[in-house]
Amino acid sequence: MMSGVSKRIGSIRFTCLSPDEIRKMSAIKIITADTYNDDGFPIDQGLMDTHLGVIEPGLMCKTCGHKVDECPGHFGNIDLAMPVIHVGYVKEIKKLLQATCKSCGRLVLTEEDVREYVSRQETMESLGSDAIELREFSKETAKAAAEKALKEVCPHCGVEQQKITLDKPTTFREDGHKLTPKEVRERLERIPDNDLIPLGIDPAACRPEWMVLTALPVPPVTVRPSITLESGDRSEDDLTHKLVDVLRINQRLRENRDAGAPQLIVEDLWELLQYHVTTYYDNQTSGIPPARHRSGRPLKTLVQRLKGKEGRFRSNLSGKRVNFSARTVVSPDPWLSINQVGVPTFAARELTVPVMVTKDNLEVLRNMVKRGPEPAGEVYAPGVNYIIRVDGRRIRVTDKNAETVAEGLEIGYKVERHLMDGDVVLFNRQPSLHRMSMMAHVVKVMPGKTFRLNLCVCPPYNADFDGDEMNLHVLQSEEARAEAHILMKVQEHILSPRFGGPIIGAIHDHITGVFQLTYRNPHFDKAQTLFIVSKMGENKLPEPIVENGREYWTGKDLFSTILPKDFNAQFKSHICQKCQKCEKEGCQYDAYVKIRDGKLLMGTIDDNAIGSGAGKILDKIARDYGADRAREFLDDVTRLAIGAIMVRGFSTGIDDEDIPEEAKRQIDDKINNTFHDVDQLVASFRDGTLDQMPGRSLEETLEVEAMKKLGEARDEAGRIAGKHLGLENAAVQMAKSGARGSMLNLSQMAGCIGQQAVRGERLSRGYWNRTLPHFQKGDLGAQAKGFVKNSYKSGLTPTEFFFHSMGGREGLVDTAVRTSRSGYMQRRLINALEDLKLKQDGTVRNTADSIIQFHYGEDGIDPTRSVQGEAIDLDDVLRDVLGEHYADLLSRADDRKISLYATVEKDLMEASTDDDDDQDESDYDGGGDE
Amino acid sequence: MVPVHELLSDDETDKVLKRLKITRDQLPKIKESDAAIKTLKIAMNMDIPEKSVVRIIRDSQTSETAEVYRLVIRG
Ligand SMILES: [Mg+2]
Ligand SMILES: [Zn+2]
Ligand SMILES: [Zn+2]
Ligand SMILES: [Zn+2]
Repeated sequence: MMSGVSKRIGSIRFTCLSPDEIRKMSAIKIITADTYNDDGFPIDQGLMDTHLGVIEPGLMCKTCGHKVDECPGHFGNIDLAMPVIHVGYVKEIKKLLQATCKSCGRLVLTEEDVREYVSRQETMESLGSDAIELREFSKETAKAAAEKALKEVCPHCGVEQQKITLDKPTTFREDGHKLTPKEVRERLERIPDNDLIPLGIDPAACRPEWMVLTALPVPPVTVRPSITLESGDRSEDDLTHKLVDVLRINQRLRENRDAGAPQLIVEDLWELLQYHVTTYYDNQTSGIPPARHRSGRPLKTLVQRLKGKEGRFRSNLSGKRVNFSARTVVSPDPWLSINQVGVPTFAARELTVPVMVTKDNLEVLRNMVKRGPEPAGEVYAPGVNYIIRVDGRRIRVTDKNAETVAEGLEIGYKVERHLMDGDVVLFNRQPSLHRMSMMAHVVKVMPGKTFRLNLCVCPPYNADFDGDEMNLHVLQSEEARAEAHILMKVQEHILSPRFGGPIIGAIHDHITGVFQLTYRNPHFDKAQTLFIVSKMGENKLPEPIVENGREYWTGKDLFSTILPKDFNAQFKSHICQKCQKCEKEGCQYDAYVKIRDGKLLMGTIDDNAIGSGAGKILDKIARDYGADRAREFLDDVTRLAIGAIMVRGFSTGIDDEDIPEEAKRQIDDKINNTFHDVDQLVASFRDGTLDQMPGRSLEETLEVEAMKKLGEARDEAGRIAGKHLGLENAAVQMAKSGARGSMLNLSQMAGCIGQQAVRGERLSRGYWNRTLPHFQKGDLGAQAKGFVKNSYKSGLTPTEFFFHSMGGREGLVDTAVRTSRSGYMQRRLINALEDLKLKQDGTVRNTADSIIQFHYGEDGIDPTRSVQGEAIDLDDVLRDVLGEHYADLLSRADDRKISLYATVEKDLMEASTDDDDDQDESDYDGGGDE
Repeated sequence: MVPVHELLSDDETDKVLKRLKITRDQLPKIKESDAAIKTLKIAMNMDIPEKSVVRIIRDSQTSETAEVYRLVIRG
């Protein structure tokens, strides 16, 4: 049913309720603590009186005359025999009592001071201060008055003031004497309206004496329904229980007071009434025991209903539950496009899309309705679960009535048909940390019980397939579908706003696949080539090369088929050795990629070209050719890669970490030598010949030196092992191409694991003066302080294993702490930023239209449309205009720049460490020369 | 290290507000007690009243410099 906005909320104001108002909105005065009579009917003027609304079918509301579900419920009231303090307002009451005169009720400030405070308050308002700032300011005003009251007499009547203190939770004392709520109320009544304004209270909306209750509103029965147990007994809501307590004591207090009972008894009952009213509002008030149920369970009263994660706000108002959604395990499917999602038929038959019946689709929909809610047949065809008539009536379609309902279908009806191929849905994986956590996909209904997705979208969702579940939402309106289609589709999010590069891209085996396809340009015969090309949708078989009468194709030619025809790029591959001077076109490692007119001329395609996070080709295609072309490219890469990797097959095993005996011996020697060096360091430390480092103690010097030596040993071991692990090795291929793992991982498996550390230091804790009882006390040698000499493959000794666990634990604790802390930070940050908006004039503003940032990002550039943060790629533009000639110019300019560096800059560069230079260097290459 | 803070004249302020099509209360705020305002007071040897607008010119990571305006408030 369509329903327009009937009322628009202009503003909301929260104020106190006056006793008059409480009585005015009350449908009935409640006077008796009894609820039901013996027949099970509500007692008149009891807490379940039918004036308060009805919860039992058959009964009629005495206030509005409606029945269950139609009557909204109505408030009642209890007249309190004696006034009681409202716990929610004790802070304000205290502030008011302290700031005003005990005798005349005026604010203890001179007229001048008051004028000053009020005018400041007004300027603050005119300068756009928010409610919180104004409240802070009125707090200051009250504090100033309270301080003055303690030092001086009242400037209006000359009476000396006494100190007011609060005994938590609700007892006020003046110089130690107790003030009854009645006395408190009288004082608050005396405060003139004008003196409330500087204290931040609007007297027209809230008089302070209303903070001391004389009447209590009784909520409608609909908010505290009683439930009937299986045994037939009735069980009342916690609020009802509490109100019963209030009524009982109120009754006794009134009787005793009217009968002239001793003051002591009246006061006791009065305090008991205060206790019940306090716990009725907040049963977790500090300083008093919580009211309990007979079973011992603390009662859930008003504050408990609202507060915390399970409270009304966070659970019911902020937390929304939705229909038309599904959740199941995800699994991969490389044959799907990145834009698609595979939906199991079982889910597709539950999830529906509403379609309006028009003259154009009447017959199509009629056929769909005829199929009913569970169409038979091998091929999936969408059926219909419900139809909605013009009058809004909803009719369930069953196998039995499908024919008749289909015949009765008319223009203007709505048909809720099953999900089908091509529908747009939202797909989401929690935690939803950035906008790519929820993207629009196009449905492909398929057998099975899992959602299927293309592997390239794993990084933005941070999904893997070890049991991850994801959610799917079916859009219900034409506007929502259009919006999702244009703004939220996966292809529109290939470039991440976080770092301006592709976050959706090839991973793992796809990278290995194209690496094998292009590295050193292998040849493929006709069978192999057809196998690879057949994986791609259309026929993309390039012209073969004929040599000695035999046809063959090269890997680079095959890769070129998926590039745009006029594509140009040049950059360094992930496998680049970072030579001192890059030979560019002359690179002996095939690590310099050069593409001209859509032809891969040289270089290896790997993580740096198509990977998620670094892929240069992907980046450039998405930017220069648009999202559609980038999607096409990614889908092609996926298929090409699996085709290529399946030609030879790809596998890694423990023998990939095998190294020759000779190498093992070398590593052993190196480590033993280092152990010896460390022993010597320890000896020189003991006899005082160790040179102390500036700013470090002798112990620290030893640790630093030892760590350095041992680190070198590990690196050397890795280097020796690496020499014997060439690019024909599967594990090395993965590490070098950036598909998975690193050379460090490999050297730890084949060579030596190295020093274990906790908080960046060698292990030292455990036993007294030693890490484990297997070592001498005070042993500072390498192996006693956590150096693991073995590799993962050779296996660890028991002590090494223990040390390794110590280091490993730190990593686990770190990640646990990091995720929980960053989650909290994320929530706070999002709460602060969620409704900021980029306006047409380039400013960033909040909902009050105040300026947060004068120019978006200070440069006004959208990072997803920029080139490495710049608005345009000047090099690229110039190359387009000047052609290859430009590359020549550029390299000459580079040479000149280098010679110019032989000045201050060069000195500065030499001063900084080599590592820094490597990182600062842009990954993009300046350009090649011909 | 400290970015340039300069006090705007009434004319300049009006011009800026007109250009941004906003009223004073929509500007970001800076407290009178802010060290930068205190320093500016001493440097100009004059009082900087509430409601004044200062221009701050900062080095920026994305553009070379960024110009922002702040409304001086009490505190
Ligand atoms: Mg997982
Ligand atoms: Zn009613
Ligand atoms: Zn007085
Ligand atoms: Zn190279």
